[in-house]
Amino acid sequence: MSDTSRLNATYDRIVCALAGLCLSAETRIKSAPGDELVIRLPVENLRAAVAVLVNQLGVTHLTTITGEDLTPELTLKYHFWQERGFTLEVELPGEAPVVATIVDLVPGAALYEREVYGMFGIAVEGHPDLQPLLLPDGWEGPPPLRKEGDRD
Amino acid sequence: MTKTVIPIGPQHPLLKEPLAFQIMLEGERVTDSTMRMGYVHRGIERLCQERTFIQNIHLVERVCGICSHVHAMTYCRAVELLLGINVPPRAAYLRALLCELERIHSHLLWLGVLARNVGLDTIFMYAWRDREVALDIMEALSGGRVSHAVNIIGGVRSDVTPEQREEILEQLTTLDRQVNWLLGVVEHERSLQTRTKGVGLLSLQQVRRYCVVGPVARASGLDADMRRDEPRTPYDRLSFNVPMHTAGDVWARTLVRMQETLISVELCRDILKEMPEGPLAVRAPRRVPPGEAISRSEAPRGELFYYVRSDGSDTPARVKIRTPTLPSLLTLPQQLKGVTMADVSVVLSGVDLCIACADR
Amino acid sequence: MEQTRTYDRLPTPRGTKMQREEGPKACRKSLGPGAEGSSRQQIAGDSRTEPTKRRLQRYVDAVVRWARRKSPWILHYNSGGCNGCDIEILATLTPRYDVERLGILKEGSPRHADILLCTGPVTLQSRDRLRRIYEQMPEPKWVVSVGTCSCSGGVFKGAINVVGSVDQVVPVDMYIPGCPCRPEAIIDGLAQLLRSIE
Repeated sequence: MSDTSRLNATYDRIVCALAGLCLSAETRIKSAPGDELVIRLPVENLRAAVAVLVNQLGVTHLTTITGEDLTPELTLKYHFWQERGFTLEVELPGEAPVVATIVDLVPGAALYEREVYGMFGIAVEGHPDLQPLLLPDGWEGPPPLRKEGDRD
Repeated sequence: MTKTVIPIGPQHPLLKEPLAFQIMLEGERVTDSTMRMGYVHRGIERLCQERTFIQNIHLVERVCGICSHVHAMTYCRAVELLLGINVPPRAAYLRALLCELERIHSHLLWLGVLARNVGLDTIFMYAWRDREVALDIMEALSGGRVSHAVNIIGGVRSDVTPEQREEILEQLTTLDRQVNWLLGVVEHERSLQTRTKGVGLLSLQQVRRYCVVGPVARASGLDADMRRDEPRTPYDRLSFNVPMHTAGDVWARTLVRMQETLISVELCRDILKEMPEGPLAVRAPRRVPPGEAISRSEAPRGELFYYVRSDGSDTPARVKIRTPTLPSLLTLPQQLKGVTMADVSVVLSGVDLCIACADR
Repeated sequence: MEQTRTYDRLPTPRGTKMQREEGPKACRKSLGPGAEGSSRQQIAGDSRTEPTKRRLQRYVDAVVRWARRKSPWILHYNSGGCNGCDIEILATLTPRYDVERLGILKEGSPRHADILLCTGPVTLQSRDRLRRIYEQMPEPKWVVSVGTCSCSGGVFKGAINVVGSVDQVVPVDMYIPGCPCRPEAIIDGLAQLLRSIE
């Protein structure tokens, strides 16, 4: 349901810059002044895509990283902001998920990556201080936002 | 030089919030610091997935007691986007009115905490006395001083009567006078300036790198305000300034917040004067169609972000909350480096930490 | 206004399940000064001086109780709440409510405090900390749980990281419900607690 006519200039620029890296681009997430752009990427292209955003387009603001358990796979959404919000989405396997860090490109991602690690058990490769952000000391049991485990 | 490690928190006279710090000192100067969060982590995001869309309004209102209304409002907006309904204009105005009142109360509260931490108990008492006026108005509007429970999916549930309107306008005049006076005191109080100028420095580049939002970012010269950058009713019909400073220290943050308070008082007046007549809410169905929605708004501490995904049932499949304190926490080691031990509490209160928000 | 309930003596029977397994190590003693019992026994042995000494002891006890009631120092700990009750506790110190006229002073260190004001449900991470703060406070001490979620768990009941109410971790003397409690309710609760100290 890609509606190209609704992409404004910002979205056009982002989609053009990431054209070679992404699987698909669509305005999917509902938001206030029109729907927000979601760019789906293969997980190995994530760092390259963020590097393009930061170095070529001057994107600086990462709002947050949302993890989601869509059993059997996991997704990570990187919510950026430049004039408008847009989202990079990667898909990870449910078993032993690993994603590369973007802390060196966007230092503000440090706490969000730690949170994703704690809440979903997604290992963030290359993070300088990877430990759960919010979980209590000696937390046993599955990561709290994963759907398997003790959910009743 | 002797090296000392000083643990601060989660319960400490310096720090009102439950957060644990290890401060490494060399003589009087801080060389390094580490932080442990999670003391008030309740697992709200998971709890949201176990409760219905309507129950969640009350839950997200209790993410934070200081900015409770803006949490509920942002969540409701996200669900309304999923449902594809528009709130009536009067409801949007009433929501914005409470938002601005909350900003006034939060900023005055913050000024009090800062003043207490630098030893100016008089300013603490005055700021908190004036804050009561804002709480009175909110109580008249909603029935609650701190948590309001006015938001429902599709609108609001409490109205302003014409008599109340006159009364609130009168109280706003009082508030305006008091905040102006307080700003004058703060601007001329030399002991406050000597404690806050040059303390907790953050450059514009650092603010950009760490994705900082809200008054902390605006005090370093980053021009970002969700009310203006992503305008919704009624902010697209109102004109207001976004105060900015470039010094990037606690003093600049004080000025930004106090000027914002004045602007908020002015906005409250405009909102009350221009509030259209009409219904307060539209009927919303119980089941939410599948989809995803993002809602952003400007909380007193900066950009608040909600992501809600529905799978078609009456409970959300995922609710993600990003509160504005989180990126500010990331900058604390940078801000603390090099300050003296006595200034640690000034730095910590300067960013206006809300750990209940950050931990969720 | 919210109702307040008073428990002047806490029901923590020795050897109950809670105390054996996860109750606080520091068991609540009598509300009077700690050394009271032993000094009385010594006096009782000496029959000639007994009436004078006992009377003196009674006077001293009365003065201590009076003094304690007139200047309770409170310590505030947020064990997992939303800040709503916390700012209302702080608001009681400010000019409109001014709890200092009752002699109540907010104190930063548990070692100087008489009354512990707990807000919020107890989270897993802050459970041991709350216990430690309670143990650091000198006897006699009282615990007031402020706010609905501190009394019962409130909206956070059943959350994955929440233990529950404060009385599951430390013994509580006074419950002040309300979400959040109004400052008037907090003052009323404290006044009732002080009355019960007599």
